[in-house]
Amino acid sequence: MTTLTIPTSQPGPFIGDLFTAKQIAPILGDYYAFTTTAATLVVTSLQTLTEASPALIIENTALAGGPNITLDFVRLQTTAADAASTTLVYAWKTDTIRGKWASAGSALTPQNVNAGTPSASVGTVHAGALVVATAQQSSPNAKTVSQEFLLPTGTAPVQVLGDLYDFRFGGNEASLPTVISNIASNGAHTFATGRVISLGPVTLSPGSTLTLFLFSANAANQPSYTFTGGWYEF
Amino acid sequence: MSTIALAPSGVGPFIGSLFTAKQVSSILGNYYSFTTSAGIAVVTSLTALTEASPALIIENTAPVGGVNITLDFVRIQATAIAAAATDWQYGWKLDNIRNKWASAGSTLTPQNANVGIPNASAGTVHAGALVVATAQQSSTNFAKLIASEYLAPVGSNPVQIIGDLVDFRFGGNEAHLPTVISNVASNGAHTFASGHVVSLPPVTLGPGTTATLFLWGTAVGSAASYTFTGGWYEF
Repeated sequence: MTTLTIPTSQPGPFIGDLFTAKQIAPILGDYYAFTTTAATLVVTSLQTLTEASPALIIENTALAGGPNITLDFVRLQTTAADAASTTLVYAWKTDTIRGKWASAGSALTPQNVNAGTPSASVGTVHAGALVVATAQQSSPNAKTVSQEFLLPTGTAPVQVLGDLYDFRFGGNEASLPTVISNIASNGAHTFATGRVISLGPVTLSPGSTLTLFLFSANAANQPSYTFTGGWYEF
Repeated sequence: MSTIALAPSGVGPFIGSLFTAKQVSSILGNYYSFTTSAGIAVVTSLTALTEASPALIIENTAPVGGVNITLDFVRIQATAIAAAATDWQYGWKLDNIRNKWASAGSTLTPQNANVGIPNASAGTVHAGALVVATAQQSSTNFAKLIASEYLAPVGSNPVQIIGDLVDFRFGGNEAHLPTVISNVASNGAHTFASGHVVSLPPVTLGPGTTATLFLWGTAVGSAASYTFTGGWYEF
């Protein structure tokens, strides 16, 4: 039998050296989080990706040479459903146009998760029924990094109160199983679902944006969501 | 066929070098945990985030230059419910006001996870129907609401039943884990206990700062009670 003697009175590994980036980030003041305080309505009746009407815009407002923002997660939870929709589709798009957000919706404040560090993020967050001016809608550098069905072609309702969509940027090796009870084969369901959507990593350099679009076939009403998320900034 | 000879008594990798931070932290005495011994009632009939009435306060009481507290998890389990509530919401807020807790509730002792090391945490924990004095409720520059979501969405009661468990994980999970609910109605009402794992951003409490948990719901008409369990890294 091999025995190990742990040098309790000797210098050992510094626990911080073993932390993951996510654990070290708050100690160094390099992580920001944002959240809503109430449900936020998005634009009603969107049936296609509509550049003028995203649901969420995150922008790195830093000057050239400033810090990058590397996304960790964005989570939405349905607080009002569009009962008429027969699909639900999302798209994440990056761009290099400053001032993407023009008006409407809610501004969410990025908060430094080190309680003793002032919040001084270069990021801005707007969520809700946003308006993007024509000139800011899509530059030659615009990139759709992911577009999929959250729920495929089916029959209503494809969305109910409590449905949760957790977009993870570069963190998971795969989408985690969706837990749905009482879902029909065509995607209609009556019980709340929870989805984890594994995405590629995304870094926003100074002056760039990340925009979330939501749309549905046969959309006829205005859903609302809570928005919560976080990113690394350094 | 190739064979590999292992050297059981020779020089090999030190197992401790392969441990994760969580495993090593207990060996080094850098991890503290807290728990309740019974359900604790929180303030009754809260229908909004109420600064004066949080359910849990964790404070780093260290002097300037002292240790940081990096949260690992906080878990609550319902032992009595607000049966009339039609939704169930939470908010986690950070602040840099010392002595956030004023009175009431229960004091929970942070216990060093290394059995042979005395408890000497810089952290304090209060849980229950807590009272926060007006002057301590929210600082001007440092109060930060970092997460506020529904644990059970807008619906009809009951959205909470005895045994419902909510496991807040700070920076540890790469994603929300699936919620397991049986017999839930389309509006969120349910009759069987559920388990939620809520993946949150990482959180570090520097000296003199606090993390505060608020719980509330629409149409709440009675006081719920919970067990509280949690842990953090401290160095």
